[in-house]
Amino acid sequence: MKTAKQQNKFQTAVEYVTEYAGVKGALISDSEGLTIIKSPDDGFDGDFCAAMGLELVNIVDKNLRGLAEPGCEFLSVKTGEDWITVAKSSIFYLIVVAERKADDLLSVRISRALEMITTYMKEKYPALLLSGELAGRKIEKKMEAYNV
Amino acid sequence: MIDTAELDDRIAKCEKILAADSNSQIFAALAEAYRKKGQIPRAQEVCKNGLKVHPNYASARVVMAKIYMASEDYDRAWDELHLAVAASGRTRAIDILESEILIKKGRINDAKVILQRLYVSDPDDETIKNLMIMLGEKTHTDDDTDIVMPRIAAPGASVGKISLDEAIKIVRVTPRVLGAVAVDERGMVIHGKFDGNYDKEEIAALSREIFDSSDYGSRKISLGRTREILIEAKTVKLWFIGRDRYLLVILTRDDVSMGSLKLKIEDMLGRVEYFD
Repeated sequence: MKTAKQQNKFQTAVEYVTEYAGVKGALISDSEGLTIIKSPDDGFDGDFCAAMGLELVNIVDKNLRGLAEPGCEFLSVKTGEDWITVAKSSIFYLIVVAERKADDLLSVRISRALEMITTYMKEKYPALLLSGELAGRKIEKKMEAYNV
Repeated sequence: MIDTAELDDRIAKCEKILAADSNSQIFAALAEAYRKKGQIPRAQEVCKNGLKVHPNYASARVVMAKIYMASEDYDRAWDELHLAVAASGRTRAIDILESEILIKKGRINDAKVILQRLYVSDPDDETIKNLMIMLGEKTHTDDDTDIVMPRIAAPGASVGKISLDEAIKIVRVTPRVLGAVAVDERGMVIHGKFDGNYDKEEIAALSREIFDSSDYGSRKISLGRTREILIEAKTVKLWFIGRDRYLLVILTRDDVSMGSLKLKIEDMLGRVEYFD
């Protein structure tokens, strides 16, 4: 269970993204695709988006191996109508679904939301982030993101 | 992304200075920042207001000319540029801008004269090289491949159109771009190459695999066809752009300006005629 404070910090991050014009929804999930928090609460299928986003991340990482070690940090996929972002911050993923025509500056907002999440996690759980459980992951990078 | 954040920061600082002193010449920097951000109406408003107070401020006239360029009002851009010349004489930046306006106005030969002169004085200037490439002029690069020169129009193509091969060569000389290739539906390279040790055949195949997998996934979940993918890794960025008959793959350093690159690519793709 997440604490109320943690929920609020994460909620702040997803709402910061969601309030941007053209954004349909945003969520934070764990590496298994389990939704931790999402915005808006209604009319946005967080579980579906989390599963889809992580699947796209897996596709890219599987194929990218060897070309861009240790892996992709930021991945963005645009279809005819949609623009989907999956961004990784410490041990979580920030997933954003927006209209294709949303302003490119949305990327800036996503980066800032990632920083909010990363900063909070580093302050709150430094031991966890540096534990063996996360060995091999680049915790100390400024931003680890998959933007699909 | 960093560029945009820097622009936001610059705008905030300039706005603050201008709010404290409405007669400050900072308006030119502010207008330029808005222009770079793509906020053309706001840029025009700021610059016009500033020029009412400082009509002989040549740098602001140059900014105004760029704003009119962005609005595709080339006659006004031309007028502003010559007001800048009248105020403080010619500079290299003014010459470059003048050549760009001449190109837009269709005065290609006049533009070539200016660009050739500028190229002789500084053969390493990427802006000049890119403009010359666009005009089909030869430049000498360190790259073993392609001493540049695309024709403006391929045989049978309309004026201003370029071939896919030429477009890729232009992309490849963009600063911080490590290479570009066009990939067919089988993952084979049609045109292009990458710098250094990057294997174009391997990257082409991987890129096609990633793009097709994403496309399959996005269609399966009713999101429609994948059109573009941007991947950022620790040291490189990969940008895939799906077209009807090929996949354009661009490999860059991680510090490339994506905003500038996107503008360039959008312009380029609008002119490509794939007839190979």
